[in-house]
Amino acid sequence: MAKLPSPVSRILRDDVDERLVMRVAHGLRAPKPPRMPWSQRIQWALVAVVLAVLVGLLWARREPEALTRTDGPAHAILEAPPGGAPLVARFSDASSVTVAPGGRLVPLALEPRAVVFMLERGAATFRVTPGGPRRWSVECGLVTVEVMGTRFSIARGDDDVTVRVTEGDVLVRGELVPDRVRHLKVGESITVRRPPPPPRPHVERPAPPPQAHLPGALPAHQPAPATASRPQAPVRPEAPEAPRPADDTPPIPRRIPPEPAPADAPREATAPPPRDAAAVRTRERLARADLARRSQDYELAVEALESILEEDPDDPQAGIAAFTLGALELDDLHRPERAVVAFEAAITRGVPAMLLEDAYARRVEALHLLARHGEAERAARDYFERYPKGRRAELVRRWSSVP
Amino acid sequence: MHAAANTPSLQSVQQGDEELVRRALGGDPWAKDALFGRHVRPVLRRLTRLVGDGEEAADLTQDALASAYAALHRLRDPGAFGPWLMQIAVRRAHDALRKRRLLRLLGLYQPHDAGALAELAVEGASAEQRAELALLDRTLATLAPADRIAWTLRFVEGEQLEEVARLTRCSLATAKRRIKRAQERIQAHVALEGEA
Repeated sequence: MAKLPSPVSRILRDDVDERLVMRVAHGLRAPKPPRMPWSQRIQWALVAVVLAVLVGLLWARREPEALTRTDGPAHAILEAPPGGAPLVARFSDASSVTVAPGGRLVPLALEPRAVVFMLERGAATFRVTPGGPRRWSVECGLVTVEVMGTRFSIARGDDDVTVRVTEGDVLVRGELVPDRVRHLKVGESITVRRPPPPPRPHVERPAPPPQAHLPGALPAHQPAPATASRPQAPVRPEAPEAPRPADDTPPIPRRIPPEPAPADAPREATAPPPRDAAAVRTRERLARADLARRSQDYELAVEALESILEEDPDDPQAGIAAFTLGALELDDLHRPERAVVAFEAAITRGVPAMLLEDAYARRVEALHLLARHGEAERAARDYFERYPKGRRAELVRRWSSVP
Repeated sequence: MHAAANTPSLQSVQQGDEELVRRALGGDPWAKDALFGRHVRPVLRRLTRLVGDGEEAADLTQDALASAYAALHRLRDPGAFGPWLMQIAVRRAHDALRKRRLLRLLGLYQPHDAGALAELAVEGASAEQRAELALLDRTLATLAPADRIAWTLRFVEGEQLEEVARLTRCSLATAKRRIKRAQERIQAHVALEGEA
């Protein structure tokens, strides 16, 4: 190819377009628009700065995209068959999860700002790309692992969970974690074990009543004498104690329905599972319900909350579960009839003071929507009896027509 | 312009810039017209080569002349009106290229290459030279404004390094550095005769 001369202007035209020269001359003669005063310029500059800041804020607060799998369906359960090869899942933010053979990992939520997995069994290694907008957490029964960007592995056994960090750091939370939370750094690990169930007590059954035909036997309907080894703790009279017979024979001890027993008391074989396990289970279900609700899977949330009320009705969190259920039924599923039942359950089981007022008020709201005006009025009177100047008094009046 | 009001004699046309500036400062409109007539074409030609767009170069020329007329009283050496005006014009070209770069980053710039170097080639230029000029246009478009202007003044306009430094209002070392930086980018694509 030919070289250009230096200077290049040797092969450029020297003439200029006279039309452009005339345009310049005309422009110079034209009256100039008045210059904007400085004060006005500053005002416009400030407006521009404010707009730029707003645009920047909106840009920063924009919703990131939901996490997706690059090698398969996003919400597929990751299960590696025992004895097979590990299963690797890669995600759109370059994070990856490796499930060891025999492991099962369930994606609960892959949202723009939250990624939640449940390690149901086995072991898995997580490599989370740091600096992303999503908060990763892994539920593994006894503990929850929260992470921003790191590499760590979790092994879940039947009664224990081990978390080991190889890069970055994680927070491990759980009822059984010392102080309920532990900050793990590189190279650190923690193993959380489920406490062994208390030893099964040997309960002697009361001696069978003596046969009627035996000499000196008591009538069959009369209480039999207790043995010396009669257990004291798990039993108590169900009814007011009957007057003792003249011979001072003690009443027959009778088993009662399950009732919270002293911590050190022996448990029956049919006693509910340990309180810690119930608390962990309830917490997991509440978390699952919360995630399901945020994912707008309301029926799944209802299922999780109802399972708390059915299986752990005595759990301290059951009231909160009932209240949440009521709000879900009323606000998201528009089923006020079910909401009424849920709010009544919340009131019965007890919720924190702030929620209690809401529970009373929202029960009125649900009854009002059902056009059960009489019941709504009675519920409203209940509300005003407790909260004459409550935060929701105005709304309750509107829903119930109580003056 | 105002030639009809004050018909210039041959002698007055030949007066130096010094006299014209003095008369323009005294309120003589013909003197301004005379300054315009003397300098508008060199300025327009150079700006066209610097920014590669004739229409934009015309706007910049008008802007540079207006600025020069408005600041005429600050010119200490009236005889140096030409170099001073050219300095203002080069500054305007620099500002325009910076603005163009920002618009390109924002995706708002529509290239208008009517006055690009390839379009300014003389009729005798070979097809290969025209192709080289087109390639040069594309390469120049990728350079930083200051580097592009320094290189264009040096290798397209043939200015000495000292003049490049004066026109771009920087030190000689800075001018050399800019030209070298641009040259490294351009050399990979365009062949030039002679030395830098």
